[in-house]
Amino acid sequence: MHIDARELSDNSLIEGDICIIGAGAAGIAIALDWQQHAAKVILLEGGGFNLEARMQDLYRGEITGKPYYPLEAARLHYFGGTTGHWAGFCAPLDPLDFQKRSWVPHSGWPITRKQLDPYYERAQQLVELGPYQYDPSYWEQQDPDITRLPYSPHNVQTKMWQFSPPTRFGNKYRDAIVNASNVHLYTYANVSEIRSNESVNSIEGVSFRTIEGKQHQVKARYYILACGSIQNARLLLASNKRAPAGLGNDHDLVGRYFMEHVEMPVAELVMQRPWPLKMYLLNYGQTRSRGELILSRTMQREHQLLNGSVSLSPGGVGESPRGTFQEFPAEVILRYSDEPAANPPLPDKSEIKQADKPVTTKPAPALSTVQTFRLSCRHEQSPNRESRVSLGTDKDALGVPRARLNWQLSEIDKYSIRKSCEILARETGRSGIGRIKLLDWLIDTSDKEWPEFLSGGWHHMGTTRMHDHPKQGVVDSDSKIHGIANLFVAGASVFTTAGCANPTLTLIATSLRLSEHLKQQLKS
Amino acid sequence: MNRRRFLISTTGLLAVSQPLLASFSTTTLDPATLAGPELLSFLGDREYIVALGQCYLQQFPHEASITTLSSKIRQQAGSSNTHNESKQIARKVARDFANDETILLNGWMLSRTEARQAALFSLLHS
Repeated sequence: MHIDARELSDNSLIEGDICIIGAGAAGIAIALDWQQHAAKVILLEGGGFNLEARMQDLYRGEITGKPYYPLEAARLHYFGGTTGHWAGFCAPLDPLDFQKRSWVPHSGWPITRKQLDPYYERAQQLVELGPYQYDPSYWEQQDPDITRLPYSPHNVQTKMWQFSPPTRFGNKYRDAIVNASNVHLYTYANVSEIRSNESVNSIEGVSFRTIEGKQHQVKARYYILACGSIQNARLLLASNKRAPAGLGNDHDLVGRYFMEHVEMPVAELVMQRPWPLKMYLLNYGQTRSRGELILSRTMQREHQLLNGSVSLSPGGVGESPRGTFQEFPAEVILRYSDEPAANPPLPDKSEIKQADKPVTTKPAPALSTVQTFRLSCRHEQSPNRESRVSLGTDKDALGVPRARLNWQLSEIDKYSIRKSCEILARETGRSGIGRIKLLDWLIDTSDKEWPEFLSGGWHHMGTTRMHDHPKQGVVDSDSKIHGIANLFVAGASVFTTAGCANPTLTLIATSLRLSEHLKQQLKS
Repeated sequence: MNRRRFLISTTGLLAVSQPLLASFSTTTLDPATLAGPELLSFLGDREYIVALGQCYLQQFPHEASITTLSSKIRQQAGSSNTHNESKQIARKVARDFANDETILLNGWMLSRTEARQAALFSLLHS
């Protein structure tokens, strides 16, 4: 069922069993899981079904730390959320990512990869992937042309990714949500406050507003915050009438430990002879799976490194290396948000890349003769308390303080990339594959310094981190906020550490796990 | 980047290898073995290899003589037969990588033997 909140009488009260705040990948995955269930699910989406500039503007914020992408372009504020322009890269986190690693401060999830596996398998279907198979040998068996490079597996391994079409949740699941009799989707319903009881141990309701000025209330048994890492933190911090520091923030953790994946060019590889590279090369829109190079667990442990992978693409880096943020300028995405009436389809990231690529006069050489490859990293950053989302002084059109993002990195982050690339370079020579040249920014051994093209993957994680102890995490292993009986968080904000896999598959898996927990709660 | 350029085709590779081979043939050293132009030519042009070699010599000035470098490259390479010696040096390069006898030169992760080959090339051509 769909209701446009702008059509409701002012001060309406909506009641249900479960209230999900946010209809992106996490919120929609949970709502779909409750179809045909007896419970009444209220799904609140701040935007409509199309991208609109005035809705995107509600996500505008302040950047005070490392240079970052404009927040209003990094996330999409409409039904389907950021799946409206994601690129579809999927992989589960590695088992090691969940473990406590002595060399990674604040590492260690309260759940294991094994516990999450059944939910990963279901998440896999929601984003229209193939089988839940990430062992490279499985993919080698599917196609004789797919083979691993001859690195010693004790040192360098291949981590597999699978590619979603990419599934645009707004298009794919709109009918299912709208036609579900027990799911009540409200669009243009921007939650401005989560209201707790006096002792701040239970939520009494949420207030939501339309941009035209109407205000409504929701009362439910359980509430799930699913707005993305920045907005989740922002909303908890802004709900401060009874908890001056914000909800769930007794220990000053909400908004902290914001994490990104560092995604940048790191090196060039020259091969001594052509190797079969079908396993590693991406033909966007065609490739079902791809391998990236990753150091083995043993090597990560031995050298005390964060997790990270390196992808190969034909051609060199050129004279002016560019990171992901430079490859995909925000203006391209914002241009689309300025034309709500036209309802234009959002471009795939691959299309943006094509459109903005500098024109080259030389055609790309045929793969069989290509000897040079650009290596790009996708690297975990260590959880860092100073890397955080807080409230700014400006307010948005609904009177909610805007987010302020202070993205910070630590020395271990750069050290891990630099050291990992050195090891990979050595192993590339050792295995007779070729030689690697590190880019200048990695020759610089000052691990406090980052180049101008520092970039992330638009992967926002960790602002309501999961930990069993309330002094170390905002949510517990059931994704429930410590100390508040009926408020849960879904999405990548619960990630304790980031691993090196793109977060969508994991955030859907953790959301489905939360959903199952709530079903058990309702039964008992 | 400081590097001149990469050679991305086998045609390019051959084009650079030949002048390098020719230049070495004017010296008393065996060109195919000691300076290993085949591998180094993957990395860049002649000027670039000279720069790489100079970078090595800055780090290890006590090796800055043709005799010293030739001796170190030949060390453990074994046979004086040119064909075998070429294979021996290739094995030595592999052994360097296996034993972590590597060095970062202008960003390139090279075996110590390869780095010395570049240095020798640099001395012969600067």
